Amino acid sequence: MCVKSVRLYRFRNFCVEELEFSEKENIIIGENGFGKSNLLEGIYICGFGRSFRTRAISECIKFGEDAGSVSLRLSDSSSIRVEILANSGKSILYNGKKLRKVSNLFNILNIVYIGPQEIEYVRGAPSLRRELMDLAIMRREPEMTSTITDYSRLIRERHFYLKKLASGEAVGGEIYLDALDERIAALGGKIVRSRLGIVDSIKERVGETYRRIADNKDKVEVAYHSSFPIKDRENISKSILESLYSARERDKRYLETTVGPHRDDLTVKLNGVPIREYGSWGEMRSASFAILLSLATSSLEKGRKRPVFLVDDAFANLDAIRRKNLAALIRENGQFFLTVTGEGELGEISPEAFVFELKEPGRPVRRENG
Amino acid sequence: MSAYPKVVEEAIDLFRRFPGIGTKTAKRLVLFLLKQDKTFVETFANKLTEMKETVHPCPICFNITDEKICHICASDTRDKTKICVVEETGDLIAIESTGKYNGVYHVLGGVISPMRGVEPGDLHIDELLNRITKAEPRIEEIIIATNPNVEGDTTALYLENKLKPLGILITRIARGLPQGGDLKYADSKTLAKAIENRRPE
Repeated sequence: MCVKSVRLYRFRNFCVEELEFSEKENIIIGENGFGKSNLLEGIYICGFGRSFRTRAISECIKFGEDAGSVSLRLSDSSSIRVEILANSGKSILYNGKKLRKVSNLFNILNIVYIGPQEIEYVRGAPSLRRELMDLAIMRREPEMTSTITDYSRLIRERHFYLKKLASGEAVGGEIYLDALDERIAALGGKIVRSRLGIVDSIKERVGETYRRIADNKDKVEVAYHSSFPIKDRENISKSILESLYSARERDKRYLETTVGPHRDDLTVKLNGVPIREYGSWGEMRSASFAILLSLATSSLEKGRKRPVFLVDDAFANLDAIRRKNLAALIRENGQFFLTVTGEGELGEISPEAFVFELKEPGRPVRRENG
Repeated sequence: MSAYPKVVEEAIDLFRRFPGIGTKTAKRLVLFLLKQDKTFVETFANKLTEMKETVHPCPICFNITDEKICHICASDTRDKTKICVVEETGDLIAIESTGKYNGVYHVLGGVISPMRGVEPGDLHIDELLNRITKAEPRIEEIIIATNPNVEGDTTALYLENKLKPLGILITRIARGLPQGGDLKYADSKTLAKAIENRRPE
């Protein structure tokens, strides 16, 4: 599935009537501050119901207005429309009908956003990598969505209860903690099993993809790192439960749950050593791309939609070879949106690409080919 | 300056405290009351006071009642060896309206959620344990009918752990598809549960 056209109404500095896109490659050229990312942000919001820039989606409304909207037309002639209101949030419409849950959006478009910060997926905190895995799970197994949200709720309940226990106010004693732990283990086991499935499905692909981007023999490996020993994949819940029991005294001191999938990580190694400690910027970037690409394309096998790549100023810091290889990879695997500040960054432009120029803020104009 | 006289304004504020009632509806209700004749309003006011004075929780099961004990606990035809544990009176009424259950109930008065400041001690759990140990004839089955969500499930598990040492049969109501429903329109989690919990016919 790809994006055929977008319409932006009072969205940031844009007011655009129906901008048609190429199903293959779209290049957006413009100076800083002219709104290249805004265009990608609009598409992103239609894939996730939120922005990659801000938590307050109302910031996307044009300054001084009280409502804005983004509409996408997709290649199967369906449509997504997100209406943003200054005081009352947003509503999401799919083919004109209101969607009840934002997570229902995740399975319409397979959007992969790669921005300047995406390096953090390799370099940054483990929570980012967990989010990445969990998003992949929600896309692949939508029924897991509530398991994931319920799990984090249970962890919060446990945190509050540990505080109560420490202050001596808890009447339920350890029996309630037992109940919480059993539930945490049950849901946690499912989450870890799904995450392992995700990691299994991208493992080889990440290595291959990295080699293609870097054009060398370097070896990138990803592995699931759990905060508890996994003895038997069929019985992960049991391992979590045992670890929760043995960590209980420590948890009661720290008032935190120190084991469980919310403490797990995805480790990324380059030639056998942790890349976040020893890798260069370019290497970490490339590894991030390899992971994002692999996640997007591995889900294709399960009958998932062809990805839509939104690449936002993300080729900076990459050498010309990596840039070229990466662009080729993205082109092969899905619809490609790319923002650049100048044509110098591009190398050769494929004749099939649509090139949009932002000569003034918020006004993209398609350049005639030839 | 408010557009309403002070007493009307105060009445609107009181109505706004009701669940599901916002400012607009509160105004409508108050204006409606103002239009009614005096006897209606008096009867209404008296009814509320009477209700508050006479209705209280049943000392056995915490269902609401205006008798010494509620009509379910007082009944001779109910099977007193089965207790169905529910969160709120509303849940009890829902099960009653099925007409399929002939045991008695126990209303917990909520679910455990430390996050929201509700602890096991705030619910009628000790009363339930007491009731079971003292029951004559002996209780044979406890049916846990808390809601199938994070707090409801954890509360159910807590109860199971508490009740286990008593050595009685503990069951939970089944979860799955609504009757007359359509598989196509079932939400995926419910459908997944229904498949997980399938049983031989």
